[in-house]
Amino acid sequence: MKVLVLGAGEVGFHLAKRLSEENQDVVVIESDPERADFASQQLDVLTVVGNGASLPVLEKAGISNASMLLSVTSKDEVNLIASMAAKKFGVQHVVARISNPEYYGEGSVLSQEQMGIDLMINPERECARETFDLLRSEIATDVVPFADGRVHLVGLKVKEGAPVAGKTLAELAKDLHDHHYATVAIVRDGKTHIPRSDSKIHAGDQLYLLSPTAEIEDIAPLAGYKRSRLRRVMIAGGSAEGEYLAQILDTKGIECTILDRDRRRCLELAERLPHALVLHADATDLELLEMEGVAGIDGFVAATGSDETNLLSSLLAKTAGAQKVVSLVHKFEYLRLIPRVGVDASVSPRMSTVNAILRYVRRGHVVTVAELTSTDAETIEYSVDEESAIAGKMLREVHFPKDAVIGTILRGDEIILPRGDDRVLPGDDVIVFALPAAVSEVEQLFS
Amino acid sequence: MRLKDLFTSDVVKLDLESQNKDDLLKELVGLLALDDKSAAILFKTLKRRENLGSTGIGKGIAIPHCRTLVVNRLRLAYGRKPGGLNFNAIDGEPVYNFFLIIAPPLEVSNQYLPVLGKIAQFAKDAAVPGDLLELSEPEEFLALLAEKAS
Repeated sequence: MKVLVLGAGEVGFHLAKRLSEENQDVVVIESDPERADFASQQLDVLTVVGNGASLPVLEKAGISNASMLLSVTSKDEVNLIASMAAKKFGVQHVVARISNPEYYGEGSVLSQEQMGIDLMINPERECARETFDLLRSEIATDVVPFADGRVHLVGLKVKEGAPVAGKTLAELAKDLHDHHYATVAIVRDGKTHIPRSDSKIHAGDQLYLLSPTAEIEDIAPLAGYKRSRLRRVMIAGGSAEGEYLAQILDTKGIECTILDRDRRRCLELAERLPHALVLHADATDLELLEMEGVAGIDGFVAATGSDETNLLSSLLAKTAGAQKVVSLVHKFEYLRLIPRVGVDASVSPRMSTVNAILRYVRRGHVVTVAELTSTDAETIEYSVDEESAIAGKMLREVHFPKDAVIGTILRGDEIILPRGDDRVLPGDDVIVFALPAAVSEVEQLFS
Repeated sequence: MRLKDLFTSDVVKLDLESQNKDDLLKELVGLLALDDKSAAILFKTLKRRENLGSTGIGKGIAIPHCRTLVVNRLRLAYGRKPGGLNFNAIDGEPVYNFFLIIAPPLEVSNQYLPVLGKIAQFAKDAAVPGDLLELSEPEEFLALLAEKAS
């Protein structure tokens, strides 16, 4: 596959390196001759020096027979122009790195489709997502929202001695009759099973459950973990990454305090984040961190624009007793340093971008959020109408494929854990968990 | 624990008199009825915190807070300054509502952060600043907390 990589900064360089190592035919376009030289010396790639937003340069790089363009310069506008040009040349997959939210989403001049871009990566937002995953990773391996966030699919590993270990689903249903979880899959030895009522759960199993969002916290203790501790997060530095993270935390109902040194930025954040506590303060001051109660915080994220400041405040937070400390790092060289100094984890917007793009490249189509860590099964949300084959029938009368299960029925405000005598009615939303082989059969029932 | 259970009417003052930031902090500390020495230490600690960055979080609200050994449990107070006071808040606007939050350095129940969060939530409710300005008795403050705070 011929891949054009636009930009030989850290992101472009790493992408080119990984893809060329995988024997892809890589051409790097870079406007800075020195950087281009460095890339051609270090990597097994062709380099073209020039402006990636210029047609002659793209043509010289061979855009007419490329199957993929990765526009990852640090300039949104260049990435956008190159991407639109690429679509005109019929390039199949176009990925653009776009940081400015004004260029996508509501109110932007052109939609993603109009620009012909298959995947837009916002490094700062990608990084915030990864940070959030890290903060909660001690418990769940996957947490995917469905039905506008009313129901979540949660994946976790059952610990030795957990209350659920050694029990069948029927026994659990009896023990936990006031809960509303549906166990939709058990992954054991790399194989995904759709459980029946007599299926037994073992320690070490990876479980996937559908849970009403309000009850997610009760799941961890059942699997043998302490109750989810991520209730309060402190973000030192109101950067774009910090703001995106605060937005994510807000949607999860997690309390969040943001510290920033710049008063004007504080004001902006306070306006835009109605639920966060925004304080005007310097996060590299140990006394201040102590006064703000960093010792009792579940997650501390150092997210200023300066790597040195982040490292310092991470170390201070860790020393002061914060549970999990994640540091934002911009320079790739520093990433390796983090584990050595005792900070729990590090994230980098550029590395997050590289990872997200590589995931896309490998799969060959758009990344879905329902990508799960240890199973290839799919979770699908269907809306039922009068025409649906399944509508109105009692579930036990429907020949539902054995490699699929209805996890939850949403009817108005009600969340129903389906049993054999329940019916799926027009207007319901239904969440189905299915192994790949069963997906087409399931689709027929709902079409 | 709900916020209303952490306040009593004797730590609520609806007509703060101070005309500057220092005096106002002292007046708030006064509501806790500590001994003189403790009150002086607490004032100094609060002032140090304010010097690191104002706790005026905008929209007429400030939440001076700190951890200190002079209290042995979480202590809260509320003060209202009807005419407003320049508290160096992040939006540069005068502050009308002051929530004081003081906790010992180590608390068994670790309520400091949850309470700080709850107060920030309560104060950021769009209707709350207006409601607060209409209060005429300390008991009404407690009733407002019961109604609108978690």
